[in-house]
Amino acid sequence: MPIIINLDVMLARRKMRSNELAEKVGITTANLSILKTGKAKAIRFSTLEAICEVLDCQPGDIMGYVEHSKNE
Amino acid sequence: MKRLETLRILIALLFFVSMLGVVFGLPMIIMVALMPDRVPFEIGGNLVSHAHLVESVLLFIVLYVGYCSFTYGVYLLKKLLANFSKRVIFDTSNITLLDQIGKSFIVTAMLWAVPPFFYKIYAESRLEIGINFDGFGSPMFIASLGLFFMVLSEVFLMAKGMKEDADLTI
Repeated sequence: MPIIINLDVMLARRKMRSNELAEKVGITTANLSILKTGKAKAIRFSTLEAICEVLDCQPGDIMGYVEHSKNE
Repeated sequence: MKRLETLRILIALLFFVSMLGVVFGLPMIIMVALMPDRVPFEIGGNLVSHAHLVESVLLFIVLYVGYCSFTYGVYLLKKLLANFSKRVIFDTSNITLLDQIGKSFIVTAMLWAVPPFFYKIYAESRLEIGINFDGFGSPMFIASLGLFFMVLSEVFLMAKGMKEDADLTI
């Protein structure tokens, strides 16, 4: 998928652990793992809002668009 | 889920009754083939005569195969309902089962409709074209039922995709 999730980077910058974020956002660690590994097909605005609020960042800080190479 | 259990009982009963036909059907056909006078069988209201005995027996065999296909469809339906009972709903196995039920019912409808049409032309020298919709046992109804199950299979396939999307929405 051309959308990549940079949640690990943001967590490292904030020195926060995954389970702590999951707890504060109100999602399960399994779901957070799905999001981090890029397996998620969609993200709710409410979840995105909660993540941005907890990490004090913008949606663009935790996800980005990478163009597909033609070989893929 | 009380309705599901009732349906399961009814389908199990239907399967049991259908199996009786499968078990005793073949010996009956053999009996008709060996002693047509002692076992007066009818096709379309006409007694099976010596003149068309081979054709009649062949027709019986084809109808029997159609009946077996129908019983197989009922068996698959029984399996499908067992899956529903185990709360396995939007699963690949159920999609395959629904598709196979549909196909077996369509095979039944074809075998019950087409060979008798040609039998009448050959044995009775009678061409009969018409829509014969005499109840729920008619080939037309069974073909419709088969197509319905196949459509249901496609609907389940779509639902499975939607469920996967919903499961992967965070």
